Amino acid sequence: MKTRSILFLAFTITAWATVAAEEAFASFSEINGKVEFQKPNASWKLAHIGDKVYPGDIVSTGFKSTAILKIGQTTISVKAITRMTLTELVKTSGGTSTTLFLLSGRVKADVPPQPGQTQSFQITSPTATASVRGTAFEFDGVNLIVDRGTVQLQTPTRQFRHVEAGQFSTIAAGGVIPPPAVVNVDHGLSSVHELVVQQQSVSFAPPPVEANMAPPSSTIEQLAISVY
Amino acid sequence: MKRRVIAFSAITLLSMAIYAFDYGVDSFNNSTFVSEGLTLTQQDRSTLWIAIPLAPDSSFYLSGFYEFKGTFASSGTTVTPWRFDAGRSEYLGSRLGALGPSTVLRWSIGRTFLTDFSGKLLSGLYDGARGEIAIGNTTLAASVAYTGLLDKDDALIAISANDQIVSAAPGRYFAPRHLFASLTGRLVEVFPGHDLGFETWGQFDLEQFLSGTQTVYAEPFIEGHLGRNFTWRTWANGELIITGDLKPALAAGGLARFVFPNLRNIVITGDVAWSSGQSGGLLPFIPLMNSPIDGLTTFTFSNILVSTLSFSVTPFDWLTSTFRGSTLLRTSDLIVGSSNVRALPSGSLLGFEASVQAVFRTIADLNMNVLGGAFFPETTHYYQSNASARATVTIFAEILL
Repeated sequence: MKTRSILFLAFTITAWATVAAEEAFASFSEINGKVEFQKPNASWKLAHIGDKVYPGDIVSTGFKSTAILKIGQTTISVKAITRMTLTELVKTSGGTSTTLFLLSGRVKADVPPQPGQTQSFQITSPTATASVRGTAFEFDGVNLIVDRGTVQLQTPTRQFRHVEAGQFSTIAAGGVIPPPAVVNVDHGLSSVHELVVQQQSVSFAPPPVEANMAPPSSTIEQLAISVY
Repeated sequence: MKRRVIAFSAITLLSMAIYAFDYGVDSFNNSTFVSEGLTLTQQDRSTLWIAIPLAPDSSFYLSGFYEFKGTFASSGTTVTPWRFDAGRSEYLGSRLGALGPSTVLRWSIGRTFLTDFSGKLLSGLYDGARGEIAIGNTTLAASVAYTGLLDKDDALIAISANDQIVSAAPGRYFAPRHLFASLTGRLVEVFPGHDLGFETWGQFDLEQFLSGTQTVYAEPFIEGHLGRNFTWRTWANGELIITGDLKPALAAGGLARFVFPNLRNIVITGDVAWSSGQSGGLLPFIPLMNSPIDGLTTFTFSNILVSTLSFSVTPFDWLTSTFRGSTLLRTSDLIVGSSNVRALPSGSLLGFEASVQAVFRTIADLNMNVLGGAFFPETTHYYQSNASARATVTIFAEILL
């Protein structure tokens, strides 16, 4: 009898949680230029303010085109020439869980913390995954810059680093994540090359040199090593 | 007709191959004037390189260079009008999931860049191989390198007295033959924002395998950041010198850095590096590469304590200026340096160094920097009273085509 009661209770809680998960969607709150979205097995449609994007839908922006998607308090700025899929969007009474797949381009996400709610937000790409709670950041699938909070940057092989507010990191050659560097975040990822230069300029690692700039050994004052 | 078909096929195939290649020429000029002996060193190098992708995850990188080097001093002139050698030339690649779903294997074989964590033990190109396996946040690596095919002035090997004799032989081009090997491990973010690691290096003297000086090193390290602006690292290096019996040597160092990217990218760095001399049961630390310590002086990293404070600012996007001051001390009674040192020097202080460097970024693919500064010898106890400051001006320009 006791076992039956426990099973019934577990079933009831599960069913309640399922019902409690709202039908979740993102909606376009701002559109500039040509922005389209596609539902599974359907053709592309021009996006308009207020259009709803559901899990499985693909969003695409053209040249000089941007869009802003809202999911509750969360804002996703989709930059030009970007293609992304809203992979997962689940809202429960306990919070929201969002996953985007970024095939190409760049997005900026602002995920403000909600009192008493868990905001799980993840952007994956073929190269890396950025997962966050209560943060604002910009990500292009390889490079990551964080405005607020902390973002976990992870490779497909599960190497990860935490990138904090005001820091930049990237997926370097061979899938390595170098230690995050403090950079000027004012311009986001608009100039990745400058960010990489800034990162290298404050990096501890000795640069790989093609040319050995050491002077000829004859000019080096050798220590008297004949003591051995 | 047949010839035309062959020619057309050849051109098509070549065009396809060239399309995938990446190649270029990097040239630099390095002029250094040193007041001591009124010495001007002129070094010019042009490097031709080509990168050939073999597969999505592996490629060849080949490079070779021509170099002119001349030293013009009041005491005489030495000119090497030409030198041809291989630069970085390696087969490198990486493979995801090589040893499981969360692993990545990386490798490099050929003339490849090797360095230890501190950069004080060795840092340069060596002939050998390096393999690395990353399993989640743990990275394990092994490398092996041979020095006998390197230019002696690039390899800068002075591990034993015999190495100096071998290197000084007239007409000798290649460095003394040594074999280096390493096993290293790094735990990424083992503490919040911090990496922990351990490196072991071994050196085997192939010139005198049984009677030579063999050395092994153990180098633990930690590095990370606290908050947004502060980063730091520290390391130690315990060395065992094997010359029939075992004798220890030590080195250690640390670096702290504050970065303010929103204030003209101001970077303030404090750096301390210590290497043992002959005292307290220790021998002088022997690095694998006997290169000068960072700065204008020509001391190598042995029997020395260097404390450096630097301030860097970027007033304009095209200019970064760095002001640097160092204090240099010896760590035992062994004499460091040779010129103008007293017959019986006392005290530990060797002198001070001050320098300013300007790095210009006016045009993409053109790097230019100017470094000027001086070493001020301590003349009360260590250097002779008439020893004067050793001023240095270096102009470096590099074009990447």
